[in-house]
Amino acid sequence: MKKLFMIAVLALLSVCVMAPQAKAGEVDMLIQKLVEKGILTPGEGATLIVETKEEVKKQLASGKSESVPSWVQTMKLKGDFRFRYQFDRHTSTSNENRARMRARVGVEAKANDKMKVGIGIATGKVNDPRSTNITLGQTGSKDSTFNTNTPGSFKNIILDYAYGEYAFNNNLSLIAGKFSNPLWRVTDLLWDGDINPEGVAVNLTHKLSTSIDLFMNNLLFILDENTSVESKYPMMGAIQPGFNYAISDSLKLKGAVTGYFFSGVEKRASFRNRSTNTLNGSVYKYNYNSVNPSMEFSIKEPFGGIVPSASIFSEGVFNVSEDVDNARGGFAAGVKFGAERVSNKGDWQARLIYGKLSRDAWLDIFPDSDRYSGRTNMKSYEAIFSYGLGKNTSLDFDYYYSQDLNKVATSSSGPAGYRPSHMLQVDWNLKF
Amino acid sequence: MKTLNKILLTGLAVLSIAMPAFAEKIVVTGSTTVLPLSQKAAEVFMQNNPNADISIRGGGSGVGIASIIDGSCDIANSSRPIRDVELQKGASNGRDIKAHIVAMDGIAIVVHPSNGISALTKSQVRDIYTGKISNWSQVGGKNEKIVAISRDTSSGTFEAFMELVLDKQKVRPDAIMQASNQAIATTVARTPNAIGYVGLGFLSGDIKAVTIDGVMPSKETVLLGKYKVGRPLFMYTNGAPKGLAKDYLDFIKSAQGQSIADELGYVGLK
Repeated sequence: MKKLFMIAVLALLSVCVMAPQAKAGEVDMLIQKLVEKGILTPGEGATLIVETKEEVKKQLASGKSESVPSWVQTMKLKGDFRFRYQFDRHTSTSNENRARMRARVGVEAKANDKMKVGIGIATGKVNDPRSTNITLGQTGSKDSTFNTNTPGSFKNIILDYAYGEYAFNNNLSLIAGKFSNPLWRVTDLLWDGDINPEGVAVNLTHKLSTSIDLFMNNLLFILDENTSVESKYPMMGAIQPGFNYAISDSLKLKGAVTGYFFSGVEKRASFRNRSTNTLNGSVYKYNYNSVNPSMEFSIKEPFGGIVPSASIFSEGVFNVSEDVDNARGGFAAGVKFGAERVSNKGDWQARLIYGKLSRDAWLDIFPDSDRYSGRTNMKSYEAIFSYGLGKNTSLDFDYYYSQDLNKVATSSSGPAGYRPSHMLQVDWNLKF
Repeated sequence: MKTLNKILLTGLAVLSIAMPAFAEKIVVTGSTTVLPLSQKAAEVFMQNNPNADISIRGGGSGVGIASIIDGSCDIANSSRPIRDVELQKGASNGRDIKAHIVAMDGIAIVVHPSNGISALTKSQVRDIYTGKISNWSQVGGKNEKIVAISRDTSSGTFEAFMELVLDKQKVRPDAIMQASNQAIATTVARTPNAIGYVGLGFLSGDIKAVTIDGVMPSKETVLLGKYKVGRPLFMYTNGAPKGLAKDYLDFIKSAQGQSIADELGYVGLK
């Protein structure tokens, strides 16, 4: 008799699966009655209720997925807008107040199970890969032939990234084109976040145990086209082996050592957006092969849960190329308190960072352009506070105090000095 | 160029060495709440089946479901139902995600047997644990300060309590944290003004369970969804399970597997 009832129940549930609009509550009540009468055990009842609901949900989702092409379903549209007030105070120039903005939008879509493509555009200037800002009231690019600005002028839109990605399996992927920097970085001492490398990257991950993940990011960055058969192709290679170690549920340690190898940079004519590296005439005097160890130690809810999380982080860089004089090292260290990500109302995060970069520690076309205009031969203090105004929107305050490591003449006739610089940025960020 | 050749060759060599070897085994990934059941059941199953190789990993429900969608695990453990967007993603990846309920999480709210309070609402429990209510008189009891006992934040019971009762609000800072269900039961039994929460398997005569929104916690009320401080726990497979995955799931759903669930403090289905 019980078997007969079970068959009847299953038949009824099958009808519900075929007609998902059937009222789930009625099925629940029916099953509860059958449990009360001892025809089903409570466990059988729970299994039928829960697994039937899941099956109905799957049928509905499957119906949705068949109505549109799979590449549309897997396509992600993302972007952000930032409005910035920026105050600059330099020794050599007068104070500057600027209103700036940035807009970025991009799509990522799966071509098939293994491959995907991403394309994104942003505001910015074609000759300034370290910034996607545009300044309100300013016309065109820095190279504009306009001598006077045109109020309300149109702004430039540039190709921010475009890439194809192939996932060999869950642990190995290859990406080619212009893409987000795949290297893990704890600060922007070496890399401005706006730089999207051009070339090829290979990313490898391996789970060593339940608490240790290994990764290795590899990057080949084409710095310039090869204009002469005789000259070396200006390129940069990077290999970054690293690990993620979950010491406990609340303690995590992440570390990596990056080896950078440059080709065709030494004795090459300096890049257009260079600033402070040592030149021999108009060409680079040194190479910039470097070693860059980094680590971050984070803890959840420290100090009795007063803050959601805290971390300390640091990185160093050392130019190991031959013949470089003593100005070949640099490091950055900092602390972070608050939410791991500021993505909801009331979330907050505070960071303090100290950074120092000798003149030839690193190629000067890459560092964060906000930190002393991206120059080397500098030291800098940075304080950041972010507060979540709502979901995906925040107000950020970012203050830099920077100066030269060595005294530099402030003008052709003026006395030498460290040229201290103050910068305050107040950002309203909106993401989608 | 020589340097770059060296870089590429070194990179390829390391890649070939570091590529994880493919092995014939079942990988189970996901919810840390389901992890103890999954792990204990696998241990017993492998003792009885020495040739079976079941690798259990945590990571959270989201990680487990993402893994079953991208094909990197055979079974995904989850303490929440799969979401529509995940089902759609699975369907577009050619996956036929199938749900298997393996046990229920049921949490009883307990007080000292001498406490006159025998009924609370879910919102009253939430207010007690977030600090808005701090005296038993505010819920109809004696004029005594409430001593709140909670599990440590890393436990699955705490995670379930956060989701089902606290709406993810923070526990009051003066709550006494205990490392196990048994420790909570013992502390409540010894402290007249205490309130605690334990898995149903830890109820005893030394502590008193209270009704929540008029429903007494029991195996039946949890299983049928009448008692609201409970939730189903899932294992998801791609299509109907086969081979070792089927045998392992059948074992968990068997009387022996469900008795393991009961022993660990879950609400077993048998």
